[in-house]
Amino acid sequence: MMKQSNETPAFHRLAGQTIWVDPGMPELGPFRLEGQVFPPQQRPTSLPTLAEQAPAIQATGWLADQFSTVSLWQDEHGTWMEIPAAGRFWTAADGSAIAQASRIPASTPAFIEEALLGPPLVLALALRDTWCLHASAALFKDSLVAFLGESGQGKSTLAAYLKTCPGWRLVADDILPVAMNSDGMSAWPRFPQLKLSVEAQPGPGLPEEISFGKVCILSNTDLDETPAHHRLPAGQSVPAFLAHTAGTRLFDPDLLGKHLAFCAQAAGKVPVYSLGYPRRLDALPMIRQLLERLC
Amino acid sequence: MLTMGARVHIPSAVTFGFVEASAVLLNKRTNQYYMLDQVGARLWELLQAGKSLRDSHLVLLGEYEVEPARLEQDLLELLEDLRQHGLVEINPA
Repeated sequence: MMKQSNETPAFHRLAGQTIWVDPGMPELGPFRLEGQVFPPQQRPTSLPTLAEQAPAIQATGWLADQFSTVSLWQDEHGTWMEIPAAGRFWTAADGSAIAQASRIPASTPAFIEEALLGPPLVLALALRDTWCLHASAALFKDSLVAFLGESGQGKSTLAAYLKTCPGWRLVADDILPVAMNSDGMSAWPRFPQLKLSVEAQPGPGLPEEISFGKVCILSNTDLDETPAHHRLPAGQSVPAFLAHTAGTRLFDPDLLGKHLAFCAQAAGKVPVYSLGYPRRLDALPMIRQLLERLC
Repeated sequence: MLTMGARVHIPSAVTFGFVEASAVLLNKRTNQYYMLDQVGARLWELLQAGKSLRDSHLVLLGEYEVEPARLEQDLLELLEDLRQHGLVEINPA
């Protein structure tokens, strides 16, 4: 059989879900399922005339360092998205497929990649009860620690430091897909981390599913303080899961309700800590020791 | 003016979840969340089960050490806030 190029549409295994991605992309090479070339049947063959209807949802946010307004239309087949400067995209109603339907000629391949692997993929996973946390994460022995926090609180710095330490492995550096199961919450780290190069992707070398250990919400403290943590009551953990889930502005009312149920379940199952973090280099080893004691 | 005789209704656009002693409410029309502490969550549980505001007040008085007038004031203030966030609809008595 002739091997398909990376740009050929194909099924991919992403965050534990099998999803048809059209077009394929070099960054998705490690996640391609070779040999499965039949597209899902439910994809409509023609674009609806979106401009004639008001969008069902308009969501604003950062996409590839640009502040964008994403407009969404829904029909029986799925959700159409218009992303200015990129084009139109589509997510199947059951989350089984994402596609680029049209392209703004001036858009760069990198922007198209971020657009397709951004809102359409996040929505597809959510439709399959897999939620994308804005988080970095690292694995110590068998214990997964996810770091949540506002931009600039040090999530990436901490994860980058930990991956250099004995016993630690990087799991995620921007997006961490998670889902509930009968035992609790799991991370599904085989997912493209767009902040990292293809060679630095941690996902392909990790187990497909990792049981969740802990969540740490990072907050910067004064530079002269020592790192400190305290466990949050479950009720106070819910807002963290709500606030740090990617793409919730894309969700329709039904999906928002499912997301709320997920956050309530997650807060009841996963220990969440507040971690005060002075942004100075000598604090990093102290935080590592603190985390290793927690694990 | 809101009184204890008011009838409280939870709109269909509101969904909620309980987490230990707290509750989180979501207005799906506005995509806004609202957290309730222990007493607020218990009130919500009672209202959602069909209890009137007056009956809920009596139940809470039996469960918490609080002056009746103080509890009444707290409940009315909470309900007014919930109403303003579209999380309850209130028919005055």
